[in-house]
Amino acid sequence: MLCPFCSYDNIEGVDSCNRCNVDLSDMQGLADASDIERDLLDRPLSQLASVSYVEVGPSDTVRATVSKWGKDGFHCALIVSDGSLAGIFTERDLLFKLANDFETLADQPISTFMTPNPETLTHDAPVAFALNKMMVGGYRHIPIVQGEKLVGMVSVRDILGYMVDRFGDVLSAVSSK
Amino acid sequence: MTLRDNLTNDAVETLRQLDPTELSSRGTVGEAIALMQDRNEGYVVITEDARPVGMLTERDILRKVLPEKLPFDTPVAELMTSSPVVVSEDDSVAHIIGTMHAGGFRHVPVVDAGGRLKSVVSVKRIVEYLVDHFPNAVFNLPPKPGQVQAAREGA
Repeated sequence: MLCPFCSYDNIEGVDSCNRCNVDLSDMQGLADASDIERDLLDRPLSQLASVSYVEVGPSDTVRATVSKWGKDGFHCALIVSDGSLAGIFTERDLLFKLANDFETLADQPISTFMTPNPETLTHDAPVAFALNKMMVGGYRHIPIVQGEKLVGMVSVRDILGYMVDRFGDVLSAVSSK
Repeated sequence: MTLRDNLTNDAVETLRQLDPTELSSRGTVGEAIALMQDRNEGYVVITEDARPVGMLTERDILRKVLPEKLPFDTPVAELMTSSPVVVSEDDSVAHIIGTMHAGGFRHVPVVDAGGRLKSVVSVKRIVEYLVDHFPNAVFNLPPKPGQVQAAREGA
């Protein structure tokens, strides 16, 4: 069994990798995984992350940020300060923090309402990692970084879209039971 | 069983479903927003006689209510998306994913044989379902490839 971590070829059934000691006791489940699980573990996020996202500065107003969202485009803005990611502002923030008094609050800086220091993933992380982060944190958007640099964003919609495109033989709206 | 097989064999009932956030078609936009905020949800199913007749989502509020400064006492029936796409209890998980993707929906109402609202499946539940198919070890791998534990745990 190949260690998914250091690629050492261990004998079948070991509990931990003989080279790097990483715990493998739970990996047996992957031995009989289908092509879909394997693909989601092999495919790096860089291949499906969207490079078009709305980027604003921390002192930009809520109104200016939301106006950049456009009609059908992005529903999330990344706040970048001095070249690094400072926060994220989503539709949910708008609805829950501002909906009741939008006109009064819309001219305040976005930094007041953003979620600071959002969780990120690196561009070479597998798609499955993004799903896990989305589940654990309840996020719909995860910024993708390469080193310190923001390089993209992946949304749950991007991932489902990727899966439907790639595994349309299974995942079509007409494949009722 | 693999994810490929389960997607077509598992029905809606295997997903953790939401007790639906619903509002009568006689309700107002303000009531819908209050419900969403109260339940921390981004949708309201609009019902008549327990049957879903519309959906109102956070996106509708953000697109139509806030920019146009519509009064909060506007009836939901004027803003909702009528005749929402629904799934039935025995539809497969694959079908729901396809439906969500095709329509760009984050929530899909589930109805029984009589067309009555039973629950709602959210895209969050789909994510949970997918993640359940991976061994936990996958997500616990150390962050840097090649990083080696100095000693076995407990040694």
